[in-house]
Amino acid sequence: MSDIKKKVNIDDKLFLNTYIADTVSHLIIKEEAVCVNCDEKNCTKFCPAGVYQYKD
Amino acid sequence: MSEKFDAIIVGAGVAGLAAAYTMSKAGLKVIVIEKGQHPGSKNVMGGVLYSHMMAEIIPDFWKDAPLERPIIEQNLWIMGKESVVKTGYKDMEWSKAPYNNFTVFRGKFDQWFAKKCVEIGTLIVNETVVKKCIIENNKVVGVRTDRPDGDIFADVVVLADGVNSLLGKSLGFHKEWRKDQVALCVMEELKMPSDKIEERFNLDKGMGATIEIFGDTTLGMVGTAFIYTNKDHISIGCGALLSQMYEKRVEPYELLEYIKNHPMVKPLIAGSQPCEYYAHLIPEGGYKSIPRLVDNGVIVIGDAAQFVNGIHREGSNMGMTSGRFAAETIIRAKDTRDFTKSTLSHYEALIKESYITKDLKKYKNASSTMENNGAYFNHYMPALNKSVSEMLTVDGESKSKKQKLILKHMTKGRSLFTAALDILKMLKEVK
Repeated sequence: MSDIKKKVNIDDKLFLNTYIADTVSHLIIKEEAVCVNCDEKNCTKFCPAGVYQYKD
Repeated sequence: MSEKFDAIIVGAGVAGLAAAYTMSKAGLKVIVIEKGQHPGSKNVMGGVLYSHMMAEIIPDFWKDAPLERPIIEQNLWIMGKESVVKTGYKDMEWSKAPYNNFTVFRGKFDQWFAKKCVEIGTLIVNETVVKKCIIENNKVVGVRTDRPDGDIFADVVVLADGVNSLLGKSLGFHKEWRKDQVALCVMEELKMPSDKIEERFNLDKGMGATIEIFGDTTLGMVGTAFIYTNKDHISIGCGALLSQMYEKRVEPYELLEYIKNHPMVKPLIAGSQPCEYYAHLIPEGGYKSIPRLVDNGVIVIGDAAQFVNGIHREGSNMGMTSGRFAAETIIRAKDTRDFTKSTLSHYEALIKESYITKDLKKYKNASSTMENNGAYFNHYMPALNKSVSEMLTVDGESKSKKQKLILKHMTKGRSLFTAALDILKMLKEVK
């Protein structure tokens, strides 16, 4: 599977968009404490627009 | 906006617009509420729209609608790592009316469809979000929008609010979808001159082709990739059950990049320019995931009702048909002024008698069978490639020896009995 890890820059892809996206995100993290205790952090992995990032 | 409508439709996708058009045509007072800037602005679809179901709503729509290409060739590829087994069907019958299906850009198509609705009296309100259904005496009587004084009332509210259907969820029609009830899909539009598309895909001028791809392109996950021809764009995309992406820890856009670089795909799209990237969830839970469809004063249609046949990549057709059925049910209910669950359950009966329930039922276990037995994607599809390679690679080995080798490839690591059983089981799921 490592061979697919050709790093894709999601920002380059999103820059292409003519699809009309909201300027203000409707995605709000209600409780950040939940993220601290979350091991898998799936939202940083599977969001196709790379909306979520995790910084310690 | 305190006036009352016959019906409020939440969502201006093809399901919602089909419902709106059918009701407006019958003289009902209809409002469609769309959260996007215009109908289609929030829409993501691989691109195949089915002619028969659209023509049931607007006959001869192809004379007028913004379509990309009529599809005259449909292909199925079973992909290996550096090989592919191809099958396909091409039919010139599909190049003329009434056609079979078309590639469309939903951004354009939905706007056109909405315009047709407006012409016959539908009111369409864009950039408005429905926050919740208004319930009185155990009956849905309207919706609350994010506009000031934004309550709107109607005899029936039609939920065409798409895969996540937060409204359906808030009414308890369904729970948060499980990871194996939705597929995560990403796609790109690649710009390519129309004559080049026709050359590469061996097409007559203006005609189109589709390729559905199983196998290596989803890295063993239960999912598909697709390549569709538009006028001067190629749509390329892939999707897999969210549960599968989760298990394999694959990022969706990396998978798409892998496919674009696959040796069987790369030459086909060489020289094209990426000009759009989309992603969406597709409701692929199938028959077992169909939520409650009606209650007092409310009906659910389209993606919100999980009406997608993932095996045949059909969905827009089911959306339109369910929209039309909802409209016919409401028109009928209006005669008796009775919009209770029992009258509206006519809609459920129509769905049940139609191809929608029949098709979804037919494939009700197909996805879970493939998901539960990884061998289909991880063993049999590569083995099929190896088998064809055995038969066609001329290397001095006798054909009868090669047949034995093929059997060995197919059964590798398992008994002949297990392999036969696996294959029979899959045939049963799709028969």
